[in-house]
Amino acid sequence: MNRINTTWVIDDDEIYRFAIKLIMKRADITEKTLFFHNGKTAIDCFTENLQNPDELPDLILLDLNMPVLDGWQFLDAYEKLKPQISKNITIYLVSSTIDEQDYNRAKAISCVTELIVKPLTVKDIQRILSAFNLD
Amino acid sequence: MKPSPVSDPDSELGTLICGRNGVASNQEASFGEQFSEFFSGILHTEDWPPRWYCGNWSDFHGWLYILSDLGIWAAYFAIPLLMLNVLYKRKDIPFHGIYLLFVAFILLCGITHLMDAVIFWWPAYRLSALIRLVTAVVSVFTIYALYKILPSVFSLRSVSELEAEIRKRHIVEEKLAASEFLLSEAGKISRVGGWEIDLITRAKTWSQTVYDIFELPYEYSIDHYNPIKQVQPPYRDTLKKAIRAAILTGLDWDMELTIVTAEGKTIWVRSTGKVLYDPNGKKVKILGTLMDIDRYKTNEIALSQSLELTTQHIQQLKNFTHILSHNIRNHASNMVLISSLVETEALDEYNAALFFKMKNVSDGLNATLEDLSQAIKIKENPVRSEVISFREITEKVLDIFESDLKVNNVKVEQIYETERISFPHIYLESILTNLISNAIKYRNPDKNATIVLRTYRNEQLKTVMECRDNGLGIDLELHGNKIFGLYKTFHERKDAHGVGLFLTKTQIESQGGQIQVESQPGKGSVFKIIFNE
Repeated sequence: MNRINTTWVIDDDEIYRFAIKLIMKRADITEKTLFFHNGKTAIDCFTENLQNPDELPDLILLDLNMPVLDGWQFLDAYEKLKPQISKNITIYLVSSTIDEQDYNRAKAISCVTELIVKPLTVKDIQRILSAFNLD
Repeated sequence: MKPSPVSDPDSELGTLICGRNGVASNQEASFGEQFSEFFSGILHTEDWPPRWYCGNWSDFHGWLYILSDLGIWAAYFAIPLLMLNVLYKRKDIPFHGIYLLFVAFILLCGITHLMDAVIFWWPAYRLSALIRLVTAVVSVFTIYALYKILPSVFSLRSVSELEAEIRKRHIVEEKLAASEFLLSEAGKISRVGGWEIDLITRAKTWSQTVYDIFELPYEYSIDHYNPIKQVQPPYRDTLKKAIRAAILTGLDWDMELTIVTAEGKTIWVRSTGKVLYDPNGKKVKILGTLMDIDRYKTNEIALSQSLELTTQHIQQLKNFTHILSHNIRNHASNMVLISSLVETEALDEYNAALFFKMKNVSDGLNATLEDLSQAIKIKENPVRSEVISFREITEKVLDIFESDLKVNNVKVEQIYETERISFPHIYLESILTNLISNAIKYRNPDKNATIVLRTYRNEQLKTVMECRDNGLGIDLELHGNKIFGLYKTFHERKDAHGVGLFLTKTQIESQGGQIQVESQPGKGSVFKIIFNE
C-alpha cells in the first residue's frame, strides 16, 4: 500500500493528538504528520505555503469543537483558499459529536469525505488509507 | 204645485204656448249676438213657459218625471258626498284625481237632473244648457283620465292577492324575527356582534352584542361615538389603516386588537370588516363583526409564553446534554484510544491486572455513552415512516438469530393478521431484534422454548404486534414499569444491559405508539407493541 505523504491533524485535545501520533507511527501510513491545536494555526500554515504544494497536506483529520477557529470555520476559510490550491486534499472530520445536525452538515460539504466518530481506531486509519489508494 | 197657467193675450184658447217666440228675430241674429244673448240672459226665463205648460202634462206624468229626477239628483248628490268623505279619511287610496273627477261628474249629472225638475216651474233653459255643457266637459275629461290610468289600474293587485302577499310576508317576518332572535342570542352567547357603516349616509348600525362588548347601554346613541378611539394605540393605527385600505381598495380585514370598554376594562377583540358594493360596483357599506376573544387570547398568550419558556428550557437542556455528552465522550474516547496503545506485555502481572480493570471501565464508559447517544438521537430526530411488511422485516431479523435459535432449540411461530404498517424500517428492525433476543436470552431452560409473533388489530382498531414467549417471565408486581427504564436488569445475566427495552419504548413512543407487557414469573412474557394506526 502506498503511504500518504503529509497528514495534518487539527485538534485541540492534547491527549488525542498524543494518541494519534502513536497510532500513526504504529500504522506507518504517512511520511509526515503535522499537528495543529486549532483551525486558525492550520489556516495560517495554508496561507503561508500556498505556493509550496509539497508543504501542503494530502490528508486532514479535522476536529469540530476547537477554540479560536473551529472545524466548520476552518472549512469555510479552506473553501475560500481552495481555488489557489493545486493539490488534491482529502478531509475527514473526526469528532465526538452525537448531534445529527453535524452529520447532515458534514454531508452537505463536498470537500469532506466523511465524519468519523471518536475514538478513531487503527481500523479507521486503515480504511482511510485504502480509500486513498483507490483514488 | 203646478203653477197656474200664464194667460196669453194672443191666444184665445188660453191653452199652451210652447211654440217659437219672436222666431224671426232669433233666426236673423248672428252667432256672436246669439252667444252674447245666451250669456247675458243666462237666468232669463221669459222666452219659455215652465215645462208644465210645454206640452200636455198630466199631473201623474209630470210628478213622476219631477220626483224621479229629484230622486236621481238626491242619489247623485249623496254618492259624491260619501266618496269625498272616504277620500278625506283615506288619503292612501290610489288615483285621488280620478275619484275627484268622478265626484264632479256624478255631482254634475245630479244637477242636470235637478235642473230638469226645476224647469217645470223655472224655465231657465240657458242655465240648463250651460250645466249640461259643464257636465259633458267633465265627463269627457273623466273618460280621458280613466283611459290614461287604466294600465296602472290593471297593475294594481286585487285584495285577495294583497292578502296572500300579506300572509306570505307575515310568515317571512315571523321566520325573520325568530332567526334574528336566534342570531342575537347566539351572538350574545358567543360574544360575536355585527356592525355596519353606510359609506354614503355615514349611518351606523350595531347589533346588541357590539354594545355589550363596548359595555354601552343599548339606548346609547352611537351616531357621534367613535369606536376607533377605544382601540389601544399600537392597534389603533393598524385598524385605521385597514379601514382606509378597505374604503380605497375594497380589501377585507381580520385582526386581533385590544380595546378599552366604557367601563375602563381592557379586553382582546377580533375585528373583521368587509366592503359591500351596490349593483354598479360602487362601495356602499362596510360590514363587520366584533368578537370578544379576551378569554381565549389571554389563555393563548399565557400558553405561548409558557411554551416559549419551555422551548427555551428544552433548548438549554439540549445544549447541556450535547456539551456534556461531547465532553464526556471526548474523554472516554481518549481513554479507549490510549488504552489501546498500551503494550500490555511490558506490564508486570500486578499492573497488567489493574490495567485490564481500567480497560473494562473505559470500554464500559464508552458503551454507556454510545447507548445514551442512541436514545438522544431517537428523541431528537424522529425517523420518517414508510409502509413496511411485518413478514419481511421479521424474516430479516430471524435470519440474524438463525444460529442462536437453532442452538437453543427455540421455535418461532408467526401469525400475520395485519400484514403492513407505516413505521420507520430501522425502528421495527431494532424493536424486533430486542424482543427476540430477550426471548432467547430469558428462555426457560426446562421447557421447549417457543416464541409466537402475531400482528392484529385491537378493539380500538390499532395495529398491534405481539411477542409471546414461554420463558422465565418477569415479576411485574416487583418491577412494574421499571422494566422499560434505562439500565434496568431483572435477571442474573452478564449480557443484560438494560438498554434494549428502554430503546424499544423510546422508538415506539417517538412514533406515537406504546408498549405494554404482561408477564408471570415462570410462565413467560407477552410484549405488545401498539402502533399509532
